[in-house]
Amino acid sequence: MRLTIDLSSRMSVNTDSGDVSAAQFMGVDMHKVFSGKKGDWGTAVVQGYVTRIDNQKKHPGFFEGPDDWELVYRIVNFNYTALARGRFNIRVGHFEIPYGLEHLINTNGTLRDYMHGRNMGVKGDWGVGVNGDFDKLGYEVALSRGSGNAYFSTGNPYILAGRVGTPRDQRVVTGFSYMVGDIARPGTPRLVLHRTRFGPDIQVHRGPWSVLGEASYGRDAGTGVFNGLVELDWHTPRESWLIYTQTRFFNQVIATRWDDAGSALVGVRFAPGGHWAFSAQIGQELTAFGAAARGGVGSIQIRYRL
Amino acid sequence: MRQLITSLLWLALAAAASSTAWAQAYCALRDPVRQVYELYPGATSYRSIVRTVGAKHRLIIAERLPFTMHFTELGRHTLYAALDGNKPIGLVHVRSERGQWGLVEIAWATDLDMRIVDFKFQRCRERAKSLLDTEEFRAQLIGKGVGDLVGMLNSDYSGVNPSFLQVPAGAEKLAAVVIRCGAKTLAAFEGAESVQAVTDPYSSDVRAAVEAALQGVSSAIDRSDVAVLRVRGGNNSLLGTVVRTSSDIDGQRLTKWWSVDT
Repeated sequence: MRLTIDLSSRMSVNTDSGDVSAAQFMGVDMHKVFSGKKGDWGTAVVQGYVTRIDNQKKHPGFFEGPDDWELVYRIVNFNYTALARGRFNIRVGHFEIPYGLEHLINTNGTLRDYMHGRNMGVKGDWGVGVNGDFDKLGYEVALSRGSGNAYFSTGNPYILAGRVGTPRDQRVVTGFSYMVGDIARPGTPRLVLHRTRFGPDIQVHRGPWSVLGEASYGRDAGTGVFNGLVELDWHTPRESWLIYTQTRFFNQVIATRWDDAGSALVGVRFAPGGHWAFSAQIGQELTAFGAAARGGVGSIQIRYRL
Repeated sequence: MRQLITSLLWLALAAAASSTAWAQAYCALRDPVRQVYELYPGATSYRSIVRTVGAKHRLIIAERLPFTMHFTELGRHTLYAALDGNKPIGLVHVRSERGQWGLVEIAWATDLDMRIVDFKFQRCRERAKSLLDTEEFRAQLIGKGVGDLVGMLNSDYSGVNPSFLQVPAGAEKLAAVVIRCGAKTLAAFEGAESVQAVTDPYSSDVRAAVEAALQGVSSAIDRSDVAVLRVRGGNNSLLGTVVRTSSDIDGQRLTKWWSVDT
């Protein structure tokens, strides 16, 4: 079994208003493989984090305000692996929704992030799914509650999502994802938002450089949406330093016309050994929907794993 | 200021309780499923054995090799035993070695004599990968042990010795990475305290005891192909011994595994 305590402290500054916000995470990260006479038959991952936010005006819905404590389940699931030589596994619990780049590059607890928030509004969800690896492709399909961190059924939310792609350890990795769901929106009149998304993702690794891309087309309550992301990153040979840039674009039908918004960010992560990781990131909205003001955020984070 | 003090208190708490760690969040861990079944096509499943590789193991490797593991490589590591039904048919371990453009991850298949059966690149961003991912290159490593691999490197261990290893032009640096990675893998196995190979199973005492037990009757066991592994648990206590024997009976090779308790 692997077990560690994971602590991190994050501070962010809104570059327009000067507002400072903070988040602290203290959690347990556990990984246990279950084995029998005929080999491994399951893997459990438990990541529960006591999370404190201060002055976070934009925060996930499960926090009750800008200053709050919450127990956040990042990953809490069991994957039954005794069937079909790894080609058909069954996962139950709280897991990342299998969609896009995030399915391969787990960004939980890091400043670096992809498009789950924009496309689905939730990153992890409670449910059941199947997954597996073949010689030339891997897949995961899941049906989940659609309520995110907390399990609740008000409004009968759900998410059905899946991704199929080429093996994740190749120099070029491609995939295609699909998602449909009624995603919980507590406090709104309909309690859920019907969303669909589908689109490709790609990773190209050449020497110390990587280019990653993801595009999604779909609808939010019947209106068209087209989102995308391009990342360029570079790392040192020991991979202790990572520098990345992301350009994101968002297109949405607003009042019968397509409108667009976009942002760019640059980030750096330094992980000198097995314990520490220091990260910094600064992002700026380049264009905004309608007459909305453009904002920017700079963040730093220190992370320590015992 | 209160936020900053809170942050510093949390981090001070963390630093006070330092121990062996793995920098990667565990949700990112993936079993080398494809590699295990490619390396052992006859496997029906595999079993994970998770052990800590710590500073003392690093020193053991340093005693056996002219180079050793980097401190960032220490932590919890997994050894995969490929199974055919209940029977172990080989071992797989994935090691990362620093390459020119990032970490090169290689899945090594070894037999229970700690010799290389085969290997597969799991993750490699070097262009020369395709030059080495060939039957010709792999064939030069199959059956080799630690000493053989070290002998394939040049005098400062940064490149290969062309007298002992044939490498396509342009792949010399990556070949040295592969060889160093393989040597460390085997040395780590041999230095592991949980499974120790008995290098001379037919010592003079054992021979005398066997002869006394057999009382002149000949045995079909091929003594040149006997492997003995002592398995230890917590506090270095001996859990038992695993013995592999092979016999030729009616023209057929018969291999048996014996589990002997303490």
